[in-house]
Amino acid sequence: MANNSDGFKIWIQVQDEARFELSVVGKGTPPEQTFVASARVHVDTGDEETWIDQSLRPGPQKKILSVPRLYIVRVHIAFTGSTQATAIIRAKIVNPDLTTHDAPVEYEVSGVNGEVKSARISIVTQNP
Amino acid sequence: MKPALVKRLILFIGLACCIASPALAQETCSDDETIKDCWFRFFKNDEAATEKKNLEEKETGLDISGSDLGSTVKNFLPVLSVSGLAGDALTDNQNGTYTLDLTPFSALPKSQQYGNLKLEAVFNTEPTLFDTLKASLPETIREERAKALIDDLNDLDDVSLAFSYSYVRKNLGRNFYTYRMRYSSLFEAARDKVKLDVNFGYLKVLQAIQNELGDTSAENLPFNQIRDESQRQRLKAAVAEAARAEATFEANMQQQIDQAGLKSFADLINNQPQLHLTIDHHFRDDLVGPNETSAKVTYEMGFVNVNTFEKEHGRTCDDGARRYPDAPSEIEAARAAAAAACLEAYRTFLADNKERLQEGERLAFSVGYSRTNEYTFSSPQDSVNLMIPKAEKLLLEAGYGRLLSVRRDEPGNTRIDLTARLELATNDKGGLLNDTRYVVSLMLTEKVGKVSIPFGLVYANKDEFLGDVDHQINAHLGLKLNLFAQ
Repeated sequence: MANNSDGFKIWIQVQDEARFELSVVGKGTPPEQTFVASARVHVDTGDEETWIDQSLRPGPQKKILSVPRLYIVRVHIAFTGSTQATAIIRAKIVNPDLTTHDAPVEYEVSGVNGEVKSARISIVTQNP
Repeated sequence: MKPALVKRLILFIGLACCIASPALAQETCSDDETIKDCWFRFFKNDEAATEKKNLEEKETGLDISGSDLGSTVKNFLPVLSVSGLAGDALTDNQNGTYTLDLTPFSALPKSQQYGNLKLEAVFNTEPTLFDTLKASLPETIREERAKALIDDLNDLDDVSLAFSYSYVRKNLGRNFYTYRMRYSSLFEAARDKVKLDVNFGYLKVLQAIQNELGDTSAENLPFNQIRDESQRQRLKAAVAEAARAEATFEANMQQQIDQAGLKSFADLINNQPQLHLTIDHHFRDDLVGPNETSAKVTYEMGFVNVNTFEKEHGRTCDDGARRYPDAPSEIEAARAAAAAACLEAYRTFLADNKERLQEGERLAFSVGYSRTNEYTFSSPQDSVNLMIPKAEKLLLEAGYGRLLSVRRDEPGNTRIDLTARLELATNDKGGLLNDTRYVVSLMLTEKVGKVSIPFGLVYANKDEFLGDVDHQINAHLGLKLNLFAQ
């Protein structure tokens, strides 16, 4: 599993009806997790979805993918509190046969009050 | 140089600049870069791009338990920081004590183990001899005997076990988790104020060539591995363009968040009323002193807090949420509209209360009880035979503090703290003794640069309770002034 703070991923050749899963967890105990998470899913059809904090933590929030489509998932973590907090963004794609497409990713982002960190996940499903 | 020639030269330089500028703007990815490297070259999502300034240490608290008339200013409860509640199990306090956090090992329900509740043991690795005992040793051999007695002590001869509990409810307590839904809604609204034209350009190129790429993970693909020159150039340009657009969006979003005052939400939580209980018991060897048990209930609050926001504007936020339509397609828009109204209400609230928030006004009350066990110690060889009866005390404390001279956009430099402490000692039968004590102190702390200069008056009903004052004006009144305090 990729574990870094880059927060940039592109999955291609994703199968029809594969399932995208996204979740955010905090490092440390709940009181130390002074952040909220939000994700915006953009589809090349023009559709948009917003996944708010309550649906991502602990998640996972899921979306069934279809072909031939392009998806961009922009994840934002907004921090508050004077002590640095750390969020872990986890994403993966589960194929229809329940195997995992490529490898899941995990991004660790940290911040303090007023900071917003982001990650961007792009998905290209298979051509018909 | 002829004027005509100068004009031509200026015209040439001007044209060169005009031509050069678009060339710079069209800077794109290079062949040997990966998609990800190029993305981050244009989209600088590094920490330097966002404001990484921690909240300045704020003078937000009152320490009404302190008997010292030193400035009562301190961060009583660090802003939203409770890392100490469940940090390392064993921490070196750098003063001869070790604290063992027992909370994770306790039999308490998991839900209660963090945040609201704390159980810890403190081991004093440098225990000292009981003062009364030391004073009762014969003067001629006092230091020598004291040293010998201290050498007999070990790390388990001065141990305290402390339990603390913060009563947390919807409107009580300073746990961010309690208020995160509101913060989430405000953040969503601030972000939604910035529009982004989502750029699928680079994905369209990848879609066209994905069958040739073979890999299912494309971010680490170097551009020079794309054989089709036309597609490679398109992809390079599209990645750079999307990254630039995203970077602009992020910068604008950060600006919106700053303008919306979301940073102040931490202050509102830090001003929430909180009620907490602490109970501790000191286990001491006879050489260290009598065992002691104490309990204290404290209530404290700031005046501009989440509760006051909810009271004034909560309906604006919640009513919007209740008006969500049934049609799923409209829910998103309705949620966004409700959040936007809530954000506006929040901004209005901050604007209306800006000065009071900066003043950091705090109020605290506490009721405490302590019991010191009967103490006996006998050492015929030292001619010592001590017998101290048990003692019980009831403590009532109150404190108020705030910054003075706050003008708009200009935090004040002077803090005022008023504390009062009443101590009632009880006898064996529970009646009050005649040595009721009370101490009232008024402290002004002027901050000049990084230096805080405290100036205070302390009044005690008996002079022995004046504490460490610089000038004793009379039997009951003392003056505290330290020009060199840091």
